[in-house]
Amino acid sequence: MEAVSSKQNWGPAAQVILGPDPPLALYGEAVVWFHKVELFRREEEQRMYRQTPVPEDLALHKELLLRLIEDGEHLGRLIDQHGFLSNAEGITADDLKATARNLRADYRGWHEPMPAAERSQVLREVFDGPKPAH
Amino acid sequence: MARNPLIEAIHEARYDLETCARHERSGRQRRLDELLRQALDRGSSKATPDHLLDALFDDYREFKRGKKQQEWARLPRGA
Repeated sequence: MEAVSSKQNWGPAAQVILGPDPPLALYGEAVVWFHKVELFRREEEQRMYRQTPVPEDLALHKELLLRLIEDGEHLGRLIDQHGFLSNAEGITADDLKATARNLRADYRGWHEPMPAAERSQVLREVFDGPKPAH
Repeated sequence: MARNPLIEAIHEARYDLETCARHERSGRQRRLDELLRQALDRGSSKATPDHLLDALFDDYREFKRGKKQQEWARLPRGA
Protein backbone atom coordinates (compact mmCIF):
# COMPACT_ATOMS: atom_id res chain seq x y z
CA MET A 1 0.00 0.00 0.00
CA GLU A 2 1.28 3.48 -0.81
CA ALA A 3 2.57 5.29 2.23
CA VAL A 4 0.78 8.48 3.21
CA SER A 5 2.12 11.11 5.54
CA SER A 6 1.27 10.84 9.21
CA LYS A 7 -0.48 14.19 9.03
CA GLN A 8 -2.77 12.94 6.24
CA ASN A 9 -3.59 9.86 8.31
CA TRP A 10 -4.61 12.08 11.19
CA GLY A 11 -6.71 14.23 8.83
CA PRO A 12 -9.21 16.55 10.52
CA ALA A 13 -7.79 16.01 14.02
CA ALA A 14 -4.39 17.34 12.97
CA GLN A 15 -5.98 20.30 11.22
CA VAL A 16 -8.21 21.20 14.16
CA ILE A 17 -5.39 20.91 16.70
CA LEU A 18 -2.54 22.40 14.67
CA GLY A 19 -4.57 24.65 12.38
CA PRO A 20 -4.48 24.67 8.58
CA ASP A 21 -1.10 26.40 8.51
CA PRO A 22 1.02 25.36 11.54
CA PRO A 23 4.06 27.54 10.71
CA LEU A 24 1.81 30.61 10.53
CA ALA A 25 0.04 29.69 13.77
CA LEU A 26 3.37 29.08 15.49
CA TYR A 27 4.69 32.43 14.32
CA GLY A 28 1.64 34.11 15.87
CA GLU A 29 2.18 32.22 19.12
CA ALA A 30 5.85 33.14 19.11
CA VAL A 31 5.07 36.85 18.71
CA VAL A 32 2.67 36.68 21.66
CA TRP A 33 5.27 34.79 23.69
CA PHE A 34 8.00 37.37 22.96
CA HIS A 35 5.57 40.07 24.05
CA LYS A 36 4.92 38.24 27.33
CA VAL A 37 8.67 37.94 27.92
CA GLU A 38 9.06 41.68 27.42
CA LEU A 39 6.22 42.45 29.82
CA PHE A 40 7.81 40.10 32.32
CA ARG A 41 11.21 41.78 31.97
CA ARG A 42 9.70 45.22 32.58
CA GLU A 43 7.93 44.08 35.73
CA GLU A 44 11.00 42.14 36.85
CA GLU A 45 13.05 45.30 36.59
CA GLN A 46 10.62 47.15 38.85
CA ARG A 47 10.07 44.44 41.44
CA MET A 48 13.37 42.58 41.51
CA TYR A 49 15.99 45.21 40.66
CA ARG A 50 14.59 48.62 41.49
CA GLN A 51 13.62 47.45 44.96
CA THR A 52 14.42 44.57 47.24
CA PRO A 53 11.99 41.77 46.37
CA VAL A 54 9.76 40.47 49.15
CA PRO A 55 8.96 36.74 49.37
CA GLU A 56 5.75 37.24 47.36
CA ASP A 57 7.75 38.86 44.55
CA LEU A 58 10.16 35.94 44.51
CA ALA A 59 7.33 33.42 44.45
CA LEU A 60 5.52 35.10 41.55
CA HIS A 61 8.79 35.69 39.70
CA LYS A 62 9.50 31.97 39.94
CA GLU A 63 6.01 31.00 38.79
CA LEU A 64 5.91 33.40 35.82
CA LEU A 65 9.45 32.59 34.74
CA LEU A 66 8.77 28.86 34.82
CA ARG A 67 5.62 29.32 32.77
CA LEU A 68 7.43 31.41 30.16
CA ILE A 69 10.23 28.84 29.94
CA GLU A 70 7.82 25.94 29.55
CA ASP A 71 5.80 27.78 26.91
CA GLY A 72 8.93 28.87 25.03
CA GLU A 73 10.50 25.41 25.06
CA HIS A 74 7.22 23.85 23.98
CA LEU A 75 6.98 26.33 21.10
CA GLY A 76 10.55 25.52 20.14
CA ARG A 77 9.71 21.81 19.93
CA LEU A 78 6.61 22.49 17.80
CA ILE A 79 8.64 24.73 15.51
CA ASP A 80 11.21 21.95 15.10
CA GLN A 81 8.40 19.67 13.91
CA HIS A 82 6.40 22.08 11.76
CA GLY A 83 8.72 24.90 10.73
CA PHE A 84 8.60 28.62 11.31
CA LEU A 85 7.22 31.27 9.01
CA SER A 86 9.76 33.55 7.39
CA ASN A 87 8.81 37.00 8.67
CA ALA A 88 9.52 40.67 8.07
CA GLU A 89 10.92 41.13 11.57
CA GLY A 90 13.56 38.51 10.83
CA ILE A 91 12.84 36.42 13.92
CA THR A 92 14.03 32.83 13.68
CA ALA A 93 13.43 29.70 15.72
CA ASP A 94 16.98 30.11 17.05
CA ASP A 95 16.06 33.57 18.39
CA LEU A 96 13.16 32.05 20.28
CA LYS A 97 15.32 29.23 21.63
CA ALA A 98 18.06 31.67 22.71
CA THR A 99 15.44 33.69 24.60
CA ALA A 100 14.07 30.60 26.33
CA ARG A 101 17.60 29.49 27.21
CA ASN A 102 18.35 32.92 28.67
CA LEU A 103 15.19 32.70 30.79
CA ARG A 104 16.21 29.22 31.94
CA ALA A 105 19.62 30.52 33.04
CA ASP A 106 17.93 33.33 34.98
CA TYR A 107 15.60 30.83 36.61
CA ARG A 108 18.55 28.81 37.86
CA GLY A 109 20.31 31.93 39.06
CA TRP A 110 17.36 33.30 41.02
CA HIS A 111 15.65 30.14 42.18
CA GLU A 112 18.19 27.31 42.10
CA PRO A 113 21.37 29.11 43.15
CA MET A 114 24.62 27.21 43.02
CA PRO A 115 25.93 26.37 46.50
CA ALA A 116 28.58 28.85 47.63
CA ALA A 117 31.35 26.25 47.89
CA GLU A 118 30.71 24.99 44.35
CA ARG A 119 30.54 28.53 43.03
CA SER A 120 33.88 29.41 44.60
CA GLN A 121 35.44 26.27 43.19
CA VAL A 122 34.18 26.90 39.64
CA LEU A 123 35.31 30.52 39.67
CA ARG A 124 38.69 29.60 41.12
CA GLU A 125 39.25 26.87 38.53
CA VAL A 126 38.18 29.03 35.61
CA PHE A 127 39.69 32.37 36.47
CA ASP A 128 42.66 31.42 38.65
CA GLY A 129 43.63 28.31 36.69
CA PRO A 130 46.50 27.90 34.23
CA LYS A 131 46.50 30.34 31.34
CA PRO A 132 47.17 29.17 27.79
CA ALA A 133 50.63 29.90 26.38
CA HIS A 134 50.37 32.45 23.56
CA MET B 1 34.35 40.16 43.04
CA ALA B 2 37.44 41.80 41.55
CA ARG B 3 36.84 43.15 38.06
CA ASN B 4 38.13 40.78 35.43
CA PRO B 5 37.88 41.82 31.76
CA LEU B 6 36.62 38.40 30.66
CA ILE B 7 33.97 38.32 33.39
CA GLU B 8 32.91 41.82 32.39
CA ALA B 9 32.67 40.72 28.75
CA ILE B 10 30.54 37.71 29.74
CA HIS B 11 28.20 39.93 31.77
CA GLU B 12 27.97 42.42 28.92
CA ALA B 13 27.15 39.63 26.44
CA ARG B 14 24.49 38.22 28.77
CA TYR B 15 22.95 41.64 29.23
CA ASP B 16 23.00 42.23 25.45
CA LEU B 17 21.27 38.89 24.89
CA GLU B 18 18.54 39.88 27.33
CA THR B 19 17.97 43.38 26.00
CA CYS B 20 18.62 43.18 22.25
CA ALA B 21 15.91 43.08 19.58
CA ARG B 22 14.10 39.77 19.12
CA HIS B 23 15.78 39.00 15.81
CA GLU B 24 19.26 39.51 17.28
CA ARG B 25 18.96 36.95 20.07
CA SER B 26 20.61 33.96 18.40
CA GLY B 27 23.62 36.03 17.36
CA ARG B 28 24.01 37.36 20.90
CA GLN B 29 23.68 33.83 22.25
CA ARG B 30 26.56 32.73 20.01
CA ARG B 31 28.69 35.60 21.31
CA LEU B 32 27.96 34.63 24.92
CA ASP B 33 28.72 30.97 24.17
CA GLU B 34 32.06 31.95 22.61
CA LEU B 35 33.07 33.94 25.69
CA LEU B 36 32.05 31.16 28.07
CA ARG B 37 34.02 28.64 26.00
CA GLN B 38 37.01 30.99 25.99
CA ALA B 39 36.89 31.25 29.79
CA LEU B 40 36.52 27.49 30.25
CA ASP B 41 39.34 26.72 27.82
CA ARG B 42 41.86 28.90 29.61
CA GLY B 43 41.12 27.47 33.05
CA SER B 44 41.46 23.99 34.48
CA SER B 45 37.76 23.52 35.22
CA LYS B 46 35.58 20.72 33.92
CA ALA B 47 32.55 22.98 34.39
CA THR B 48 30.01 23.40 31.61
CA PRO B 49 29.07 26.80 30.17
CA ASP B 50 25.81 26.68 32.15
CA HIS B 51 27.73 25.97 35.36
CA LEU B 52 29.91 28.97 34.73
CA LEU B 53 26.88 31.18 34.09
CA ASP B 54 25.35 29.92 37.34
CA ALA B 55 28.55 30.57 39.27
CA LEU B 56 28.61 34.14 37.94
CA PHE B 57 24.93 34.88 38.53
CA ASP B 58 25.18 36.90 41.77
CA ASP B 59 27.87 39.06 40.21
CA TYR B 60 25.81 39.39 37.03
CA ARG B 61 22.79 40.52 39.02
CA GLU B 62 24.84 43.38 40.48
CA PHE B 63 26.20 44.19 37.02
CA LYS B 64 22.65 44.34 35.67
CA ARG B 65 21.46 46.46 38.58
CA GLY B 66 24.27 48.90 37.81
CA LYS B 67 23.25 49.06 34.16
CA LYS B 68 19.63 49.67 35.11
CA GLN B 69 20.59 52.39 37.57
CA GLN B 70 22.36 54.21 34.75
CA GLU B 71 19.19 53.93 32.64
CA TRP B 72 16.95 55.10 35.49
CA ALA B 73 19.20 58.12 36.05
CA ARG B 74 18.62 59.14 32.43
CA LEU B 75 14.83 58.89 32.73
CA PRO B 76 12.81 62.03 33.46
CA ARG B 77 11.54 62.21 37.04
CA GLY B 78 8.30 60.35 37.61
CA ALA B 79 8.85 58.05 34.63
